[in-house]
This record gives sequence, structure tokens and C-alpha cells, in this order.
Amino acid sequence: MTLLETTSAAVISTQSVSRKPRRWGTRLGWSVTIGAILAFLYVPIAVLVLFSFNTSRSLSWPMEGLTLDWYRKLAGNEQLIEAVGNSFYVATCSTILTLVIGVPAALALDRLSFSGKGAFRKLVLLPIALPGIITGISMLILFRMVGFTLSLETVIIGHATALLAVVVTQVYARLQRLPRSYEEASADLGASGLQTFFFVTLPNIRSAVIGAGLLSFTLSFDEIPVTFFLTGRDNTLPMYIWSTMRRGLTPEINAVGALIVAFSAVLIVLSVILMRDKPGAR
Amino acid sequence: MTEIVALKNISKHFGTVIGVDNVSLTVEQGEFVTLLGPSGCGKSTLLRMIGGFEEPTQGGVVISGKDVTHLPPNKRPVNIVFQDYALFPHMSVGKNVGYGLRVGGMRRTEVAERASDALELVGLADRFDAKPHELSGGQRQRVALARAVVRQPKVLLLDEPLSALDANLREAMQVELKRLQRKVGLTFIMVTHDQTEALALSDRVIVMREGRVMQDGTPDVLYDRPSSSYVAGFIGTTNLFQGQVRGETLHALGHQLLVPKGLAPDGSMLTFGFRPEKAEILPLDAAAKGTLPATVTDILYHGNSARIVVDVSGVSLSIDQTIAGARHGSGLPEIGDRVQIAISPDRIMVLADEVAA
Repeated sequence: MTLLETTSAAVISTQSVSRKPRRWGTRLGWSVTIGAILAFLYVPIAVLVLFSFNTSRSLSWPMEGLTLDWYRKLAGNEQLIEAVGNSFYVATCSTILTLVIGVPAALALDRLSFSGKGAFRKLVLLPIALPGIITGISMLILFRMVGFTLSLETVIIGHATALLAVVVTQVYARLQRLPRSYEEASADLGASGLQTFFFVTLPNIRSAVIGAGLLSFTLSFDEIPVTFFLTGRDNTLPMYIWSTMRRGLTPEINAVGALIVAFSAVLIVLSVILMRDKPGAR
Repeated sequence: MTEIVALKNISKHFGTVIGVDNVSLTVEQGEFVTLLGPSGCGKSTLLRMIGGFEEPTQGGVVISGKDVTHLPPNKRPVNIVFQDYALFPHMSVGKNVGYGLRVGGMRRTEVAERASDALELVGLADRFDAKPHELSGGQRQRVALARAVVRQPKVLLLDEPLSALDANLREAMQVELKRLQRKVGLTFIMVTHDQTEALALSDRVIVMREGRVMQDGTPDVLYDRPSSSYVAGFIGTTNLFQGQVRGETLHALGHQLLVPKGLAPDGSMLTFGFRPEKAEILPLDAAAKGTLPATVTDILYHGNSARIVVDVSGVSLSIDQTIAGARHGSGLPEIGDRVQIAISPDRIMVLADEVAA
């Protein structure tokens, strides 16, 4: 978003200062640089979306024609649809689980003082720095020891541990900026602890919770390493894509990719709308 | 009068730091009491212990006959106006004011009614649906007041309520606050570091220093008979000097002053003081007894009065002199003039230093 704004701003100023030739060169240089960065970020995605409409199976330029066949084929692919369903299930459950554990954990970190608080905070944040492979293997060993059958639920637990750090960091950061006097005023006016949390604290950290939730959802949705170790017979979408890739890239995969891009775009728009901090808005 | 708040030998320690040190005091129903002192004197901690936000390390808090020492804020019949007002930013003004009633389980329609009554009281009935960020500082202050009084608490606590406002507004809000207190007949306990505010609003002022009460009295007692040079210096301006009383004479500043009999024990070296407006500047040739010869060193013009700084035997004293309107300037001495100072004998204060009240 900001990059786009910067480019358009740069373009506008190029026109307005065009009478000064020396600066014009600098402006052009900037525009080219920014264009290159944007291309680096977005050209691969554009190619993916474009080739999902290609009539030919081969990934060669120029494209032979446009078709919706690959999307039609997708709709009939039961394995794929099941994988998408699994991914939604895992991402939704692990996000909810993370929020239910993470928000109170952040509150505890911010509001309570207990011995070992510093260590607790670092330990909660550690899993984000651990490679997914380590989380995956260690949880696999643990689940085997305890005798859990591997399933989508074990994947959910695995994701939740890794995502907890995301939620705790974001919510904690917001709580730090929330004046303590709000909660004191609420208590002073007769509210119980739960009333204070739901009527005063939560509405004021709402955007941080939503943001952390959406980020968790996205991270869980396309997670491979932890899922690889912890899933049973069920496949999530990234796992399915990865396994079909062994048979080569197909336009069908492009179509799945394009759909994911579209879905992500919806999520981004949603998060921007939900997270807009209108001062005072409910 | 009935006692509404009683603090009994209350102390608060923060680790090794002593915030409040063995304070006992009572507040009567309907009184406006102010805790006055510099920052870090323990006045806010004391207020927060009455509100329930801090638990005393020792001692007890009794509100309207009930021991509330270990009760949380939501179980106490008091409400507080915070320094930053703490209005909930996500709720309208009306919702803010009604919050305390709503969480108490009152019906929505009645809450709205009572909230608008409270807003009416502070003159903001038309801002019911506004959001706090749309209001001015003074309006926010009034919403905070309405929100605190709407639950009809036994005591209203105010933590530096006017410090976030600019000087002009502060004076207007002082009048408003006093008017509100008279109207609702509530007991107010206010914390401030501003002595003018304390004197203007309170029935009783409690001056604090380093967690202890230095003096507890009505504003005029604090002003006219401060118990220590600390209180005298904190409230208004005071000229301080050392001296020794012998009978009806005070030997000080290398001269002799007339004082009432029995002002202080004979012979002991003590600190004395007088307020700048309790002395007069006379021409050197005027016949007077018990005056101090002085040299004028500075003149600060204040419009209706002037502060004249004089030197008496190396000690600098301030004297306020009202200016006669018609003969502007003629009533004032000039810098370098030799004059004499007459201090009203019954206005000389004896200050027992470093002794708590």
C-alpha cells in the first residue's frame, strides 16, 4: 500500500518539478528503483495468476489462449477440496486456540508482576525463533511418547504453540500503550474483573487482537514443516500442492494459487477495515 | 457532623521506599478536604488507598463505618476522578457516564435517564452522543465528574483534577467544582500540589511531606498560623528569620521588635515569620516604635500592589504594599531608599520546625 502511494507521489512530483532538468534525473531514478522493487515482489504472483487461465499445459510465453478449464477441473478434484477444507479447519482452530491462550497470557505479562516474569516472556516468544522443523520433530516425539494418534488436531496444537508468540507480542505491545487508568476507572465504577475485560479492555485492544488473529490464520494456513511432522493421513492445502508438484507444475496448481491470492486479498482488505482505529468507535 | 472516612495509622511501603508513613485522619460528611504537597509526598498514594487501588502495608481504612481495608475498588462506596480523566474512548459521553449504573445491572432506559441528569448537572446535556475525543479538556473534565457522581458515592476522590487544564480554564473549573460540591452535598477528597487551588476550594487542607502529615487545618489557619517553616513556605510567601523572645521584645535581625506577651518561651532561639502583606513600609523619619531600618533592593510591580524587597542586616524580606489608585507611583519608595519596616506584632508567627502536627 505504502509503496504504491510512494510511487504515485513520486510520479506526481516528477511532473511538478519537470522544469528543473537536474532534479528530473533523480526523480526518474527513484521511480525506476521503486518500480523494480514492486516488480520483484509482484511479478511472480502476476505470472501465477495469468498462467492459471492458459489453455496450454506448458508454461511458455506467449500464452496460447484463455480458458477457465483449470478452475472447472479444480471444482471436480475431491482430494483438493478436502485439503482446502482441512486447511481452513486447522487454521481456524489454531487461531482460536492461540487467541484464547495468547490474550490472557499477554494480559498476565502486562498487568501482573510475578517472579520469573522476564523469563516467562522470553520463553513464550522463543518458539517463533525456532525453526518449524524443530517444533515439528519435538512435538512428534512428545505425541508419540504420550500415545496420541497423529491427526489434524495434533497439527492444530503444533501450530498454536508456534503462533502463540505472534499473538502475545502484538497484544502485549498494545496493552503497554493502554492507560492503566481505564481499567482502574472501570473497577472504580463497580465493574467486576470480567466486565472490565469485556467492556473496557477488549474493545481497546480489539484491533491488535484481530490483526494477530488474521496473521496467525495466514501463517497457519500455509504452514508446511510442522504440519509435515504432525499430520496423520489428512492433508492440508500446502501439503497437497507440495505432493502433487512431484508430478510437475500444472495449470491446476496455478489456479489454486490464484484462488489463494484472491482469498488473501480479501483477508487483507478485511483486516484493514476491521483494524482501522476510529477513535471512539465501538 | 458524622465521620465518613477514617484512616487509622495507615502506612504504605513500596519495597524499601516508604510512600505513606503512619497517617491517621478523619473526614466529615460533606467536607471538602484537600491533600496538599509536592510530588512524591504520598498524597496520591493516600488517595489511592481510600479508592482501593493500593492496599496499605499497615493500618486500616474505614468508610462510613465499614472497614474496607481489603476490599477492591468495585466494592467501595467511593468514586474517583482521575488526573487523565480515563474516559473510555470507545464509548459515547452518555455511555461513559452511565457505565457505572449499567455494570450494576440497572435497566437501559433508566441508565440513560440518570446519565442525562448527571450530564445536565455539569451543563453538558447536549453532548450525550459525542465521543470523548470530540470534547475540549474542560468538557472532558466535567464528563469525568458526572460519571463519578452518577453512582451517588459516599465520597468523591479527585486526583489532581485541574492539572491537565490551562490556567484560565483552571480558575473557571475551580468555581464549577465548588458549585457542584455544594449542589450535590458530597464529601470531596482532592489531591493537589497547587496551594492556591487548595486554599480556594477546601474546607480543610492537609499538608503532607515525605509520607507524613505536616499540618491539618482550615485554609485560614494554615495561612495565618502555619506550624512549621515548611508549611509556611509551601502556602503563600513567608519571610523567615531567627530570633529570641525576651518578655515583649523579639530580638532578631540585629534589632528589637514588639511582640505580644507569651508569643514564645523566653530566651530560646526560634524561627519566626510574617507574610509580606502583614508589614508596612514607613519613611525613615516617621516616628514609630519597634521598627526595622531597611534598604529597598527591588520593586516588583503587580498592578494593584507591589512587592518591595528590602534588606535588613543582610536578610532579604518581601513586603507587599497596596498602591493607591489616584496617586500612582507616589506611594512607592525607590530602589536604594532607606526606609523602616513596621510588622504588625500580632501577625508574627512562631514556627516549630521539623515537628509534625
